[in-house]
Amino acid sequence: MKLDAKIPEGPMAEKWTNHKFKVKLVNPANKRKHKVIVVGSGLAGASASATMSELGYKVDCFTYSDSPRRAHSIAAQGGINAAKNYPNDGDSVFRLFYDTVKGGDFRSREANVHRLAECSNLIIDHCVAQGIPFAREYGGHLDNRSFGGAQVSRTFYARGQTGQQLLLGAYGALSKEIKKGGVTMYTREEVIDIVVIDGVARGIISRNLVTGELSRHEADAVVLATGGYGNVFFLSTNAMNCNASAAWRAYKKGAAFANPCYTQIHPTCIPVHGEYQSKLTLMSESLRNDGRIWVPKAKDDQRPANQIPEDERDYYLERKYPAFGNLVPRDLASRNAKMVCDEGRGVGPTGNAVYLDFAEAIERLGRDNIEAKYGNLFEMYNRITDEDPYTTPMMIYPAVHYTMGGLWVDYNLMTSLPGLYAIGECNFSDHGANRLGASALMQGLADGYFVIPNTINDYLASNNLPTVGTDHEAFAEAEKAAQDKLDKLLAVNGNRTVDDFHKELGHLLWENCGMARSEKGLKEALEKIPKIREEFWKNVNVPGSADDLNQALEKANRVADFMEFAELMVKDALERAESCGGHFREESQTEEGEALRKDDEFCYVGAWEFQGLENEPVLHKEALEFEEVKLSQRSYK
Amino acid sequence: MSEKINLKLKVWRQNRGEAGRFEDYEANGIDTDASFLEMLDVVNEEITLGGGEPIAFEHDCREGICGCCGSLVNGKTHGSHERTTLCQLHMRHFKDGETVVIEPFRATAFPVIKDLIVDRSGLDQIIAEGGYVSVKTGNAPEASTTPIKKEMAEASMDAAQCIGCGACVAACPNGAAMLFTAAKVSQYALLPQGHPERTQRVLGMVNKMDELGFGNCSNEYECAVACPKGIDVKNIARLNREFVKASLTSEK
Amino acid sequence: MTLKRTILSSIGQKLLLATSGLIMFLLFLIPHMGGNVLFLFGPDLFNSYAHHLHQLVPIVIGIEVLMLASISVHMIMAFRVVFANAKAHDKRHTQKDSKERSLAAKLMPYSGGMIFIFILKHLLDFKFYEKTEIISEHGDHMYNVYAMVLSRFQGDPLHLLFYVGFMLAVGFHLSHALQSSLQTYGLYIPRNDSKIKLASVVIGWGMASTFAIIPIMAFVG
Repeated sequence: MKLDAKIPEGPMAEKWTNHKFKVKLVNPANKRKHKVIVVGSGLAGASASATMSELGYKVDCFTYSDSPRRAHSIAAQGGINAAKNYPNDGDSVFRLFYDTVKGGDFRSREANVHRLAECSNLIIDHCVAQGIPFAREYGGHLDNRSFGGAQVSRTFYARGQTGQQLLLGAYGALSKEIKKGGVTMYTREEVIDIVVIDGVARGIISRNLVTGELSRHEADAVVLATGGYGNVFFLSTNAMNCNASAAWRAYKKGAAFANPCYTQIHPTCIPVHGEYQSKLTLMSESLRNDGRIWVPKAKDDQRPANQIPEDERDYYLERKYPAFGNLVPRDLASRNAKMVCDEGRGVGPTGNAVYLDFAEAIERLGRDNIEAKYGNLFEMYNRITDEDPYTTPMMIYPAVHYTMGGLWVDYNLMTSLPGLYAIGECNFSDHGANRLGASALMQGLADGYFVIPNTINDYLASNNLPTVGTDHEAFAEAEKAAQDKLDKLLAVNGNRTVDDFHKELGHLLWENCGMARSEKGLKEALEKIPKIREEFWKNVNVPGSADDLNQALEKANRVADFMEFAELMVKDALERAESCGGHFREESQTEEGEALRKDDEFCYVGAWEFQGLENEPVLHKEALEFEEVKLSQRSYK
Repeated sequence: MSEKINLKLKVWRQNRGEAGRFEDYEANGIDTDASFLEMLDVVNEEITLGGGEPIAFEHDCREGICGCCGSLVNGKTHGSHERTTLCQLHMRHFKDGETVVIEPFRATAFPVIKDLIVDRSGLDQIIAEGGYVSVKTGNAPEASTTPIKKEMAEASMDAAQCIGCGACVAACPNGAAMLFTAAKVSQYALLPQGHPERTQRVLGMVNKMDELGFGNCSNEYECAVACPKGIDVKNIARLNREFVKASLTSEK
Repeated sequence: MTLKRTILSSIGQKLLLATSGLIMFLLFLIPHMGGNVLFLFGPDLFNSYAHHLHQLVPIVIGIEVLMLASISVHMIMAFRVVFANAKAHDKRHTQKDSKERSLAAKLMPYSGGMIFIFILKHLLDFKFYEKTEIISEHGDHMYNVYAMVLSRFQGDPLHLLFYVGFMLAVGFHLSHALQSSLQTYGLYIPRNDSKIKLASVVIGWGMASTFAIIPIMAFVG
């Protein structure tokens, strides 16, 4: 396998424009002869399906949910970045590009990031035209707020429900095309394998989640918009059904998987409080605009927060990073929270929490103002914890939130398996080793609305893709393999539930491949994962049958993939013996405990190629070159 | 502080194409800090290990925004708390020893698929009839071209918050989808971007709603109390106005 | 086509229901109540009111035709709506708490049905009942309607009970119907600010009680 990123020639700011001119086009009359399968209906999937259908392609869109509107993009709270510079604070496409490359700790591909920044403004235009009720100022113009990792206010928002509003906008566009007949929507239909014929992706096998029936779907290209793999940790802020299966099957069919060790741990989540806990709840990063993060100066200080005097509190982010204060990027905020808790200064019943305090902001701005800004978040916090954040500081702790790694894609967002594309969180390309807040929505929509509709032409126009028919043996084989796997899962009939195994795997990863990683811990995990996997296949209990709605079976099938994926993630983390962004190797830190990048050794994208489960995967390195943003050690001091 | 409670559950069980029935379960040692769905997880783990089939219920984000979850708990949609989805309902609101009756959201337009899971695809079909602004990607003018009054944007956002959970339909004595439809119609009626299509939007959506067998509004406002996002019935009044206006002015 | 679709849509039917109801309320119920109140002021005034009413035959017939139309539309739409609603919710929850729904709202189809029965009975009682003629002090020939009303109730507690009982139906029906029709027209009724709802209840029950007073007074003499 040779990785060719296909980065266009020319100056950074002209690459995308030049590229759009150079790609081959499909003439309008021929577009309807091409069918594209889109897997996933979140921001990226819905926007891509709608836009490709608008262009004239036939699109089949798949989601395991009962409706495209359920996709987890809906849960994004804070906002979406764009370089509009409405506040006149010096923002520009270049600055957004610069901040994103720097925020990603110089592990992303410059050309992709620049394109993302260019598209950001178009997204806002489009979303406003779609009737998305963004927050406005009294003059009627769009309001902005600030987010971590930036010194300008460039985040557009719709209360604490920006993701919801943007997703519903994309869902509306998708619905419009469904009505028109351009998109055929398959709901409660889970894609369980990719079909490859003559070295190119030609279709999928899906399972109807109500009847259990497997079916074959042929297309000229397959686009995966299936989100991230954060649920490998069991506890994360992802929705319960988020999974890595489609991406993992793609990997096993020949698509390279890039940087699986890059996971983002979000600093402001509600701490874990019991064994029964099924997921973690994020409190928007926007809270760090006004909330101050602190812990007691003394170890094991058991006093309630309001009895700890001001001079015995350590506002550690403000102390260590005076320039950015509480608004440092997520990786720094998370790691520092872990550090103070490891020092024994954590708060709450488990000692694994820090305070996020609004007392000062309430005094400065008044309770009404704080309520108007964060009311719904405070309400949510109160509902879950039964504590009142207006009078008692919130307790927060980092949790797995987003995965920057994903399927390797070239500049066209095509994976190393021809005909297979990956967009949104599912690919690796734009966020490097750390994603800045309010950039996930931007990337999902940029990929779906503006990038893939422009790049997929090139593939469809330059390749002859004769109809193969779903009777082709590759379809039959893939379907049989899928059926066999489901039957095998049901036949184990062991003594442990799927969740039980998932928790064990997740706990191991959180301890050994979480916020801080060491060679020893990673090696230990590499030894344990195959054992858990082995026991899973011997002792899992999956009730029910395959020809019925069977949630345990769905879950088991996904966890079986996590069991394999986890190993690759740990391998990648072990291979990358440097600290960068969300990936912190204890062996690679400065004297002050800051992440230490090793650019001479690791300035590359690590893309893994599958060689069969019993063999070691092969690591391909795509060297990263930085023309515009000079490689430097990040500083937020 | 959290404590452990025991509950008796009566849960609706139903297989595809069969008649349903209530079955009794025990939920023991439930932490009062757990959410309602986490309580069901615990019960399901026990059912599974006991050789039974776990209770099927729909859920995904578990933070009250995806709209997947929802059942009638002791006769109330999403349980006893106003402006709360089932996943955000916590066990501290239940008493030790209490009997909890759980049944699916029922309406003729919401057939049961399995246990507590119902088919709400009718709501998607209503949206497909015009619950959007038909703007093709690439057509949009610069975002700041049209200033919009803050109050209008806020009122539009109030309506746009709908999560499509279907509690309004289940709570309505007539199984009507008026609040759902009204929320979407209102979101666009309040914004200039929605105006070019407002006539066909309201006529199309109402027509689809009727065709799918949702009931009529008898202005009893149960829907608004049931709505986890607090969507107000003034949106239904607006829907009625939009409908009258559209009927009188429609060119078709 | 659009018109038919509009009329037969869920909202269209409700609009017709509200409109026909309001027509009956404004053009019939309110004047009728006004006339009835005169009963309390003795036979002369009441009989002369009835006499004058009879002299306005064309208007009265016009209103009667309008009432017949309204009541037909009202009933057809009500049947359609009630039937559709029953169909839309045929699988009832086994246990369902109502938080906002009023008793009046719940009883609408029943109170409506009762009112219809009442109207039939009422017409038989008074409109198609043999009346005695008298001569007024001005020498006009007129019916002694006052005496007729008296005779219908005096010594007949069952009849009185029937009338008063049915006025309960009117009270329930109006207290929901008035505010409901405003909401159907798109006038917003805030959930937590119940002034309009309160007005609806007060007017509804006020009118029902006013109507109920007549038979009670007639019974007492």
